[in-house]
Amino acid sequence: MNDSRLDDKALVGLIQNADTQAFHAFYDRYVNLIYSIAYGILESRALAEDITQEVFLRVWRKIERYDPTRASLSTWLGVITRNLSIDLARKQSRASQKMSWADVLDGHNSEQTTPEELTELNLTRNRVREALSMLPEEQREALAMAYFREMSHSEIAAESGEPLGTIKTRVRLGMQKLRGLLIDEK
Amino acid sequence: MKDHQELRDQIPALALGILEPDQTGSLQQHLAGCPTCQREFDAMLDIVGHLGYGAPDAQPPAGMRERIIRKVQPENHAGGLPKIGFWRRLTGWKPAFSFISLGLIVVLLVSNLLMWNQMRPATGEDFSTIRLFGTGAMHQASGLIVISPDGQYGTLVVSDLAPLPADQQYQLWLVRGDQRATGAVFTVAESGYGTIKVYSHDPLVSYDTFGITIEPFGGSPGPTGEKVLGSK
Ligand SMILES: [Zn+2]
Repeated sequence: MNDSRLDDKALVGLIQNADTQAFHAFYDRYVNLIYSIAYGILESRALAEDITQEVFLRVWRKIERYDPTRASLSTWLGVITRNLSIDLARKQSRASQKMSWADVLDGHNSEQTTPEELTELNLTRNRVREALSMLPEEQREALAMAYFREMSHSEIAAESGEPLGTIKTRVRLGMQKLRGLLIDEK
Repeated sequence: MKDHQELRDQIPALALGILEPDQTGSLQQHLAGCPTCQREFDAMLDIVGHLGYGAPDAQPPAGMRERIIRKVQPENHAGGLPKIGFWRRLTGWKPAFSFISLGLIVVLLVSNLLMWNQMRPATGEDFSTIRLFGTGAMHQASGLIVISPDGQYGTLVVSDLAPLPADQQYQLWLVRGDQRATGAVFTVAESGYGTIKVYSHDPLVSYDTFGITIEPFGGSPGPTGEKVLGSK
């Protein structure tokens, strides 16, 4: 059996049993997602590699902490990766300067669209990028500052020169619109 | 007391981790007692997870796959190693038993080191070991550094070290005179167990003593935190 064809649930089960082959398949499936988030926040190849390694070692050692009833595997990985990256960015006093979302077209041009195992991830990626492109510009920008730099409402307000209430509304409406676009159609 | 709707509007910010600290407490309290808002929070956390797909594609560095996969060994797996804590509870015979367990693990380490070092026959006789003893709050912890026959390479194994919060890691220091060099920055499994390769500029046998401290995640240029293990 080629592990790369197993679904996430099967891979997680094998990893719980210390199956290194399953871990390799898991690595290949998620490395680009994890590394891209870390790099987007830290803008350093070395630090992004440190975070990627930490996330995968946690998967290897603590996969039992993942609760499939509460979140999809990619959500869990995405949240851990972002949290670790932002913690490290703070410690290093390093803040992402670009803070921008990928262009929606990147997803369609991606070189990774061929392997069968990546199809589902690619679909999700394209869906997320399309959903982001459908938000009003100012909501998308506020969410980028919140996501990549974990800036508070008042910090975003100060940087963008907009009233605090306006920023709160932008973040909330942006997230709620994404929810409608991304979760309800599942 | 804020009402349900007002609190509900703060859920996206809480999921993003950007809610002001003075508002976080009351919202978390509300979530604990309101299943509707708890579901909303889970959904918003799911969106934060999805947002990762919006990060621009970055190409991982060459060799990263090998570097990470090399660290993933069955003996590092929480479920695939001797449960020292469990055994100890059974026997009630604390430090000595830890060292016996560590001794068993050394057999695994020696074969690891041989693969890493790939120069010596698998006799294991020429390997030297240095014991580390727990100090202060972690007096129950123990550790061992296994050094390869040429004195160049080492593997550190620790047991009964407390798992640390996500923003902290353990750091091994190689001490010579008043100099402190980093040997490893690491975390331990839930069981308190860890096995870590030690990297150093100079041969490990050239150092006087070894110590482990708690440092911010990623390690420090010099020791700043509490010392938890040390050689004598
Ligand atoms: Zn509620």
